[in-house]
Amino acid sequence: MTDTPRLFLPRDAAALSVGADGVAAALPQDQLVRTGSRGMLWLEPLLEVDTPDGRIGFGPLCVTDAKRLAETGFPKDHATCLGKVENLPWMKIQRRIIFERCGVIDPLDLDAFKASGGLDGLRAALASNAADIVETVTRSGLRGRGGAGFPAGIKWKTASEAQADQKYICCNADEGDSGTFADRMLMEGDPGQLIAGMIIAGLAVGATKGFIYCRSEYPHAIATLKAAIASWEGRGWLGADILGSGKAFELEVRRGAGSYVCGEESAMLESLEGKRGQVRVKPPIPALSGLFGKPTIVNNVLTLASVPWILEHGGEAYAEIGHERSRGTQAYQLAGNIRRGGMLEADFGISLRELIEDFGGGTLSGRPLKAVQVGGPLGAYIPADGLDLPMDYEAFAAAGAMLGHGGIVVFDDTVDMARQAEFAMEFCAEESCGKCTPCRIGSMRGAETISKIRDGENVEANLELVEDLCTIMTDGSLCAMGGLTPMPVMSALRHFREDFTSSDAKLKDTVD
Amino acid sequence: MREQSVAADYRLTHASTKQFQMARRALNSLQRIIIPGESCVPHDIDVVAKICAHHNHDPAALLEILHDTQEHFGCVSDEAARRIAQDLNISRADIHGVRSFYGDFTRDTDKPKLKLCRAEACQAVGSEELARRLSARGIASETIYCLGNCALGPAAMIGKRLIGRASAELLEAELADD
Ligand SMILES: Cc1cc2nc3c(=O)[nH]c(=O)nc-3n(C[C@H](O)[C@H](O)[C@H](O)COP(=O)(O)O)c2cc1C
Ligand code: SF4
Ligand code: FES
Repeated sequence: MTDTPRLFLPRDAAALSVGADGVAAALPQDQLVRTGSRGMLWLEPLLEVDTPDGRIGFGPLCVTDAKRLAETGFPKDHATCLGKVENLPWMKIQRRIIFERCGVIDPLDLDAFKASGGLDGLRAALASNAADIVETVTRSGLRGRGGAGFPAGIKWKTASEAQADQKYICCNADEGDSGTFADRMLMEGDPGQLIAGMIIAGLAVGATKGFIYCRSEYPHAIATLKAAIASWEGRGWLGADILGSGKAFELEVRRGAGSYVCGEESAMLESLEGKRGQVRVKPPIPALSGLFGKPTIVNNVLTLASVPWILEHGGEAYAEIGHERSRGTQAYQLAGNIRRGGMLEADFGISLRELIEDFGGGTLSGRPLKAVQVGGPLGAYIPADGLDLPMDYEAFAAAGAMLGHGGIVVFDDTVDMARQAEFAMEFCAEESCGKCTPCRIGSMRGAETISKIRDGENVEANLELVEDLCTIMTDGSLCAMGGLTPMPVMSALRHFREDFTSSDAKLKDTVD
Repeated sequence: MREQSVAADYRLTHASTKQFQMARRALNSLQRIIIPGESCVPHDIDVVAKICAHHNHDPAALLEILHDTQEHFGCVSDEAARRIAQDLNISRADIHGVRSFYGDFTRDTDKPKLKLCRAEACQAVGSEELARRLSARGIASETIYCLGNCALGPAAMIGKRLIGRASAELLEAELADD
């Protein structure tokens, strides 16, 4: 190790939330590089020290430890030393396609981005033509990471064949699902990967204008994106003449405003037009008539950020990775009551149990695990004995569950599942866009009825009513907000019926 | 009293989301009836005009304009809404519709400083108990569903500062620092 090794410390919002800035202030500033996060959030603030045989990690750090380490030259026998970061089990199993540079480089250092091959996918796209890009993405088998898992290639082909004077690429960065933060991590840790993906999408379908719709709860991501876009423009990597190719693409960041349903693609488009986030009736699909009535690609952050790798390595290379019909990698996010929480990018097909037990280390409280909610607030609750499920769209669907955006929220045995079911209905009532009755009224009635059940009122009859309501919401809702709220409700009811019927459940949470 | 402060008061005594929502709904409908149309924050209305100009008077940028206004004044008052309507050449009803749809915008300057995540991942590590403790200390908070810090919950935010592994003591200290 040299006397003045380079030091890497995240400025990711999660790291900041547990004191990364304080730690940074205690370190020699001229050696310090601020990066995104590696995703091992339980180790944040996690300092990495450059050595001839790789980066050595120290974490989680407090200010006192950081000072001491700086004074003593970062000795490997310090209690917080983790050894080589790349050798940590959490890192070793990963295949980082999207998050290759996240946590490694300064997210706004364009030279580091370029030196690590950040522009290779974009250059390949610029050297290719629209039809071939669409074909490559189709062959890769890439599916949307926003929740529904729709094949990206099909969407792109539809938009590319539409005739219009203007088309748009809209990146869905609304990431409203509880338990998910991978979009945020990427936007803060390697915004260039997303920008490159969006330009490639623009080249593929003939769109020259893009928007990133980022939720307002992510001020750090918004600031990083804006700074990155400005420096890309300054370099001529973005704008009227991308990398001297004569091709144009313009990019703008727009803030959401605290509405969950604006993550639904058509509500997001309404919001981008400056309106209330009300869901649109389909057809027409956005690929034909989207933003301002023009053909529009709406893709999730991680869908778009997968594209540069695919262009660089080819569709076949991507299609070789994964499980069954879920190709490529997925960003698994371990959250809630979990000992080692964070994000890891690995192939589809890993089991839920492996993720929670081997990587997550079980519950944070040390109590037995009772339930896991996968796929956000519209996802199913899975009981402790159902964890041997491979992470794959079809396997989850077959089990009456949903992979969604890859969020995994762990609950220990103190959770009252009737209360969780009630919350699912309340959340739907709160966030419904109000366009259709089964969702708007059904969720209100659902919350009231579950509340009665929790009070021990006419339990059996009311349970039947809830099941009826769920059927109506599933069948009669215009979008997945109302359509999928029954998933957490019914899964809780199916797997944890005793929480609804025992008097214990009633007494447990009397404050509510 | 304004909707937000009433709601905040209500929340102090009733920590349940459901009851809070019901109260808020009741208040929403009340507000339409009994609260006169004008909110009363003093404004430098030229700032609103500048914000509109900065966004090229583009009606599609309405959310950005409302955000900038909210950030500057702590609310989007009726006076500001009127000016935006005029400058963007859209109706005041449209602005009201958008302002009331999105949780980020308020008509008056009474948004609590503290945002507290009450979504599932934070519930799993005690956000509801934390909300009760904050209430007991007389600290008002705005309910948020997910701040993207779900592995380090309970999560909270003050201004643009994200806080992980939050406790009532920590939040109280952070608010005092603010
Ligand atoms: C209520 C609701 C909320 C949604 N929230 C998000 C979100 O936050 N981010 C996202 O990418 N997709 C979200 N979706 C899915 C989008 O409608 C859409 O399918 C997706 O953005 C398409 O991109 P993809 O094909 O790349 O996944 C949501 C859907 C619904 C019904
Ligand atoms: S299901 Fe709910 S959110 Fe979706 S369109 Fe209907 S009312 Fe709106
Ligand atoms: S659920 Fe609380 S930060 Fe995501």
